[in-house]
Amino acid sequence: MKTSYFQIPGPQGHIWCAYDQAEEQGQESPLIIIAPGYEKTARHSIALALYLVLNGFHVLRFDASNCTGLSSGEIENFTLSSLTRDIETVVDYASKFLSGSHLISVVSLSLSSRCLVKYLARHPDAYTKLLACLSIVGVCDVEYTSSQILGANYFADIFAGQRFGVRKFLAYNINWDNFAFDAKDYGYLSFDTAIADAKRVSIPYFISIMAEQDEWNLSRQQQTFFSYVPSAHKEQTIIEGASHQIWKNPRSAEIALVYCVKYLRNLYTHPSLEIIRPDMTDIIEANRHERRFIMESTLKQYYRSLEVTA
Amino acid sequence: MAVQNPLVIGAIPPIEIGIYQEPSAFFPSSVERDSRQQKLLVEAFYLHYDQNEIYRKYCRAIGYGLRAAEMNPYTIPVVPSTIFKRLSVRTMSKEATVKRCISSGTQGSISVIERDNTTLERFLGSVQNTSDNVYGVEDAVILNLGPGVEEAKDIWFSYVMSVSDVLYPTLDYVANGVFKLAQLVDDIKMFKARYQDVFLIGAPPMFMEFYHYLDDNHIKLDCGAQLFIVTGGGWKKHESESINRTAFNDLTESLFPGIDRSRIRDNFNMVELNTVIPECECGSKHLPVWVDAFVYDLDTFDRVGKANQPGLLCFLDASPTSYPGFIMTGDLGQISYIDNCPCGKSGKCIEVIRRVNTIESRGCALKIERDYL
Repeated sequence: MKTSYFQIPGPQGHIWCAYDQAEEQGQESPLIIIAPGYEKTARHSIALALYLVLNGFHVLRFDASNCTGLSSGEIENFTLSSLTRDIETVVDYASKFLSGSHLISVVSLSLSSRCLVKYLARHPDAYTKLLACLSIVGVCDVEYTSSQILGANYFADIFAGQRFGVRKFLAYNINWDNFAFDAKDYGYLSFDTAIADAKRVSIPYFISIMAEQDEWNLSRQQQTFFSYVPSAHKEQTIIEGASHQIWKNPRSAEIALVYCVKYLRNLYTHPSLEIIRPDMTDIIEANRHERRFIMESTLKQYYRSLEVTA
Repeated sequence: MAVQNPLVIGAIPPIEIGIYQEPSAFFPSSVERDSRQQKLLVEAFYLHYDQNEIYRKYCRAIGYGLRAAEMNPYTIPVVPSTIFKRLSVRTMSKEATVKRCISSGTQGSISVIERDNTTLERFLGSVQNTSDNVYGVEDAVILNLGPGVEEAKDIWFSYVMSVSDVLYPTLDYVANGVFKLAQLVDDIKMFKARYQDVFLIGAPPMFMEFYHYLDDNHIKLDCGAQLFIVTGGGWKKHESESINRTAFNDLTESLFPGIDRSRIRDNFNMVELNTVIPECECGSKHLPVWVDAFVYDLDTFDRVGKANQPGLLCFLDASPTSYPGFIMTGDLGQISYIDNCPCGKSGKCIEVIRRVNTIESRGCALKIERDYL
């Protein structure tokens, strides 16, 4: 796999991207965009990218703005609207410059699935750019998921006027108040908003992969949400025993990855039925390569900031 | 709208739920050990008995079979770790090997362990589970007081460091045989401003070299509660320079004022063991639900599972699929706690006392090798 790194200008600064291609592949392979989950970066999707590239796809991964990683903004300012804007920017860029004659498919993870559905709901013409959405452990009730993560539901207190400021949300600190108001004002927070958005999805293929032991999603809600998606071709699947943090378990990840690859190969009528699986050592090596690049970029940014301060 | 049941596309085996998904996997209760651990060990035994010719031959030679394992999995036969120095003890086909892992060979010959994807993934899972749930780390950088994998090639300790890179950014501070000490000092200062936790990881002799450098240059690094000092791999050929744990902790504290002593840890692993055995904040090495340990009494050659009886340390590790993880080590050790660690968490803990010397040692191992393998 060869990867080129570049930045896309967007309304929030720049979005850092990694574009993966097979060494010997031509330009006409279909493009898959991977939208990162909250606090995950492009690098976290490297195994998925490797699977896809080995099986005939090009892949565009990106770091979300106002999140961890190399895109603009600090994670303190993370909101769902911000991630949705990134998805829009990346899809527009990819459809102009990278997709060739194929429609694009998007793989989304956890919270980015909610943002992808919001993007689809706002763009009734999305089917002119996108063919399929593959949502892995997709969040559909932001209020429930956030409450599960935080151990309590703070939204009512925030909307009643209490201010929490910058606090931990999983591993990192974000501004809870901004996150909550953004989710409420722009229609992400409740399960009802997810249903309303689901009804407006216009792309023809919609796949949902659920985890049976998902501690941050209610399976009944995921199933109900899915039933409202009007896509002509849709399939909802489940991995028994898997948890929400699907990438922490290579077996869950592999089951999801193989399913995605098979589905996409079928969709784009790939000539070969055989699925090529990367070795763990390939994934470790690809990760190491990207870590180095990221570390060098991070250090450059750091030393530049020191110079500016000086 | 009609709601349909989702299509099942796969299931996670119980051992992998433990390794990858269970926050309490390193602290199993006695009930969990009696139920889940025994099942995992029996399943692992089935696999290796069925598919590993050398292991099966050995079991048959001592009259041990499936029924015995089912009756009491804690009697599963162990093979001496030295066997990997001269035989290829593979459970899977040669083609399944994705990584050939070798010991550092400080005692002469080297052990070779062939790992397949599943085995390697599960090892990494034990590292991830340790970092998430034993250390409680979420955002960290790892500074490796050793060479990167390009220089160390297949040597297990360095490879372990390189796989940690999948979890957290990892920088190596030995290149072309040179320990970049000044760079390490600069980077500790820089990274403590950028990450929640900064890990210094290396073998004890590397720490001693670093500490001498700090001392000689009158450097003290105040990292507050951000620093984790993690040793691994033991002193090996530097045994004559070794200092005990208390002295090591005192020295660390004098050079890193403000460090919490509970953040000075030692992890146990060896190339033949597919699980990292981490220390809790009290300095006890906790065994996860998929691993059991016992000792062989050096005088009677009896298995001892009780606490505080030193002997040759043995592991029953259910996680490897490419070789039997039922290993007799060359280390003198003991079970230190069974559900009564001062940290308050349940589980069995081990203490590694020292390497055994060749004469006392290898009585058990040599006997097994000579008679059965």
